[in-house]
Amino acid sequence: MNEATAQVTVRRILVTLNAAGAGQPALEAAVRLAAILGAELEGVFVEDIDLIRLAELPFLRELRPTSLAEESISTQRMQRELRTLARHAERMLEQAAREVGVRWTFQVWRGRAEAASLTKAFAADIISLGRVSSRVSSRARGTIRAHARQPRNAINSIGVLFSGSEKAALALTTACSLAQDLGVRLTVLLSENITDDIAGLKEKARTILQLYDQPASFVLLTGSNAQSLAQAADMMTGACVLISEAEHPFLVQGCLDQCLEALACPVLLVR
Amino acid sequence: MAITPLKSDALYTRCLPEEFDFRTTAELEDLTEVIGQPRAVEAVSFGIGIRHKGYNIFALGPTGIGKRALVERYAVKQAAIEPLPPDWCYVNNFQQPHEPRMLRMPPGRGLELERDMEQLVEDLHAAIPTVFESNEYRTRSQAIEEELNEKNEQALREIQANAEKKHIALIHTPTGFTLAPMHKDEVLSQEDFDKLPKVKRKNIEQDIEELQEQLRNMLRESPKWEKEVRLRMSELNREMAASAISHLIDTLRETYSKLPSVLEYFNEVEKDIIDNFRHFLRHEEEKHGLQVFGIGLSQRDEGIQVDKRYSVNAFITQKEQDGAPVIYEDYPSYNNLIGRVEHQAELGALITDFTMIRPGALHRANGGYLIVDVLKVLMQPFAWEGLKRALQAGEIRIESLAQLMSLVSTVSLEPEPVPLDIKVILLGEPHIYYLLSLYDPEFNELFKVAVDFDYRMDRNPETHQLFARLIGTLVRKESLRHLDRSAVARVIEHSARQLGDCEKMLTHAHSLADMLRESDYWANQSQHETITCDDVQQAINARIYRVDRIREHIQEEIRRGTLLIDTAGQKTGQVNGLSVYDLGNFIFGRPSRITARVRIGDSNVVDIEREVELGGPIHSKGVFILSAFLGARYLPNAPLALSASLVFEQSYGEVEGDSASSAELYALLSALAEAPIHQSLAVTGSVNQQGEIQPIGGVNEKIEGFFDICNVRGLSGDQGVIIPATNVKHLMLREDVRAAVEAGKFSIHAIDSVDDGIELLTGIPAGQRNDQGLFPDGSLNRRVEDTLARYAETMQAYGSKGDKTPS
Repeated sequence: MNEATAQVTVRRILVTLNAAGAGQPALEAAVRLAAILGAELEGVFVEDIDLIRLAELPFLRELRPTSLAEESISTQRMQRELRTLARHAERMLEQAAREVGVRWTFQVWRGRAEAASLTKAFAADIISLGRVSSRVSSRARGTIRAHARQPRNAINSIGVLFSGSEKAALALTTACSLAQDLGVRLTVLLSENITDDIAGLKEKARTILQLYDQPASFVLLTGSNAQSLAQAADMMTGACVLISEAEHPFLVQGCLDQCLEALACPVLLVR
Repeated sequence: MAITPLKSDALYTRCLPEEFDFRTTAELEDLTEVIGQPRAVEAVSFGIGIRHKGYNIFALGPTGIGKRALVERYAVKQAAIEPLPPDWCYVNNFQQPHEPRMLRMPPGRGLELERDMEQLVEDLHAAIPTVFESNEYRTRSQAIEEELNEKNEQALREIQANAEKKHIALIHTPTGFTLAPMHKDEVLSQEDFDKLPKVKRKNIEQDIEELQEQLRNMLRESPKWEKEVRLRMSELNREMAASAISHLIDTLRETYSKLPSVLEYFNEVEKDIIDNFRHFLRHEEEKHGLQVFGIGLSQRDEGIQVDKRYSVNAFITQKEQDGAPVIYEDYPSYNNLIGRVEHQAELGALITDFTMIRPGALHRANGGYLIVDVLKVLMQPFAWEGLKRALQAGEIRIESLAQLMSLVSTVSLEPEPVPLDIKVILLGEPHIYYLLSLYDPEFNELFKVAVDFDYRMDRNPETHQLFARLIGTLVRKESLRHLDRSAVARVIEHSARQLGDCEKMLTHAHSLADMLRESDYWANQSQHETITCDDVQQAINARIYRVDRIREHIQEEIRRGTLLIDTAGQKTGQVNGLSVYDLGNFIFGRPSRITARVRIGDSNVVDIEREVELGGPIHSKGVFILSAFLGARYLPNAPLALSASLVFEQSYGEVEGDSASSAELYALLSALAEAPIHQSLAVTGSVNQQGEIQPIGGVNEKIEGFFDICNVRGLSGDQGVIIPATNVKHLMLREDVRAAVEAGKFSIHAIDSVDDGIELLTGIPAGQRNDQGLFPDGSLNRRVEDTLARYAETMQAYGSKGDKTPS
């Protein structure tokens, strides 16, 4: 399979939307990509099972960072609020899909809000993930108040994790298409933990970039964890999207959720 | 005493070409002084020279007399030695944008400031983004934000670390945060929680409560930290903006260092730019504005478009010129005088700002002279009130008419008033001056100098010479052919004729210029190099011909017998009166038949014109004088038992004036004396109660009107006109009339009294009372008195029988 034909196999793009409202950049990236590739958009509203469970505990109280108000939590209220958010997410998806003229579906998925669970549960060709878990991890960056705000920045740079595999090539061509459509910068992230032949990897990436006549800068990742990825993302100024093959070593074995927490941007997994 | 007809030399006062020592007016120097207006010249000189409040000028005189030329000449002369007035600029009032500030600038510097501020704004568009895109700013601002983030993250990490130690998770709910107990990386369910020992449950609840308190404290602190960061960011922004602005503003401060008001304005500008530096950071597309349905919307903050916010409206600027301005406002509407605030339509709304303030004539003439036609001012709604208000207040306050009349209540601009130092010169007809003087109490306070223009001047060799120079000046100004001296003489004679006075000349510059232009036309038609006497005469004739259609029709109808006028024979109780028709630009005379009928009655002379409301008040006054005259002269000791009627035959329009009162009296006396009147004569002149004949107007036109009829029918030698002796000095008759008189075919009689007139008309001596108080037998007065005595006796006889007055 060559890189040029790789795109046509993308038929479905899944995008996650959750109660924390962190799905907007993921939605934007997915919608643009669906428009470019002519794929169907599959919106999934994630109802974190943690929220359902905690709502049953009568002694818990909810603290609201904007109004500084406090209230006890009930199952009824939690479910009602989740339904409201799901409807809102569906409307957002519908509106975004209509604007670019792509087909779309929507469903609510209840379960453990983990990226790994989601990628297993759905068979889309590309998965656009925002932060899905409701837990505020110590690994997460930012402040409580920042968490409470919905990010609204437009995508102005794209990073792509490139390992040199076939799927990585597909991720890179997808990234090129998206970068050209949005008219934004592209940064190719290479890791020395994957191969010693960084020069060869870079050359491979350049070949693909030349096919698309896409300029790009290269960043070498010094570590192999989510933090090093986050540091690289920091170097790409502005709101970004990270595109990667789903099987990239950085993102397997539970690293994906860490990355999503560490990164303040959506991740698009190409399968 | 026999009345001898006037000789032909009394009928016209010539201007002899031989008086002049030039061949054509080309040899004459231009006239620099004003002729025939000594009073006006002195008044205007005084009015222009005096610099006190209220000493504005009203130049009164007929239209075309040269009022504007004279006052403008004096105003321009005075203005040339006066200093240039200041420039006036409107700038934004940053505290009260609806009350724009006014800056007074030295002459010519208003435009300079306008250009400098434009340049400043342009420079700021480059300087401010440069500063805010600098590494220094980026690093410092990120450091401030990073500090906040670190503080927050530190606090959050502490909570999270404590929570993780106690197997508790911080969870983001749809509307906030909560802390939940965990078990094996999952939130503990209610069922599992209930299975825990009581102590354990209590501990978990306690732990959560403690963590919640920490979280609560952190949430409370966080806004304070953010506020602190905002303040520090604001300080940084101001510091950076100030650094971008200060050197630019300082350069301007040096340029305008001697103008405190401008320096004060610069301080405000600097402060405002620092407060609003973000205006200069907008992206290109934002500068071009938002669009709604394809219509561009300008970016506005606090009502004023950003680029206009710091601009200068150089409202009044003095260009390269000497002295104070002299402005003539041709269309003195309220807005054109006082100025206005323009508006711009934007999506159905009308918007404005200080850059749309436009000056009026008062602003343009401020520091100098404003000349306006008073009639035009009075005809424009609120213009007169606006002008007076500005003069009284000593300042020009721009208010729209809608604001003035409270027609709109929307917020508009109230520009700071401009101090007014001006001399206003009104031009107008005398009657307007007198009306304003009488009925407008403020008028006399504001226009204290009357410049009264005379429309005539004496005729003598000196004034003839000056008039010739005036003609030469006008000819050169209008680029016409020069006049030879015969033509000049003819123009002077015509000027006297226009005035209707052989001893005076008309000083009406416009009509004189018209006559010269028309003479030039006819000279051109005749291929004359200079305008000759014939060309002037041709111009006069052609002008009359163009407008005398009505006169011609009337004369034609008299000739054809439609209008009944006898020019031969004798008739009792019938006389030819003379009247003039004024068509505005043409006056002509015509004879009218006046008849009288008498009978016994209750001493009442009925004026039929008055009875049918066709007689004007002056005409009626003349008829009442007749009654008084009759009562006083005849039968002083007996009641006047007369009923008489007087009528202008075939007159279907209004009759006004008393110039026919002597003719009416002659008709009445003729009827009473049963003495026929010669119809070959026509009469004009008013009469008083003493029987004296008084002067009338239009004597030349009246004589010529009767002459034309007689001339057509054939001059018999008996025909003539009786005029008041006091009108002889007004005679400037046509050449054909003079020729007929010279040939003895037509006569003009000048009389002083009614007796003179009745003798001429009837050929019967009037007669004077003798020592016994009786008129001589056979005299006309005796015949009148006898008739009246008979009427009185008859009336008395009827009265003694108890009968009523016979009908």
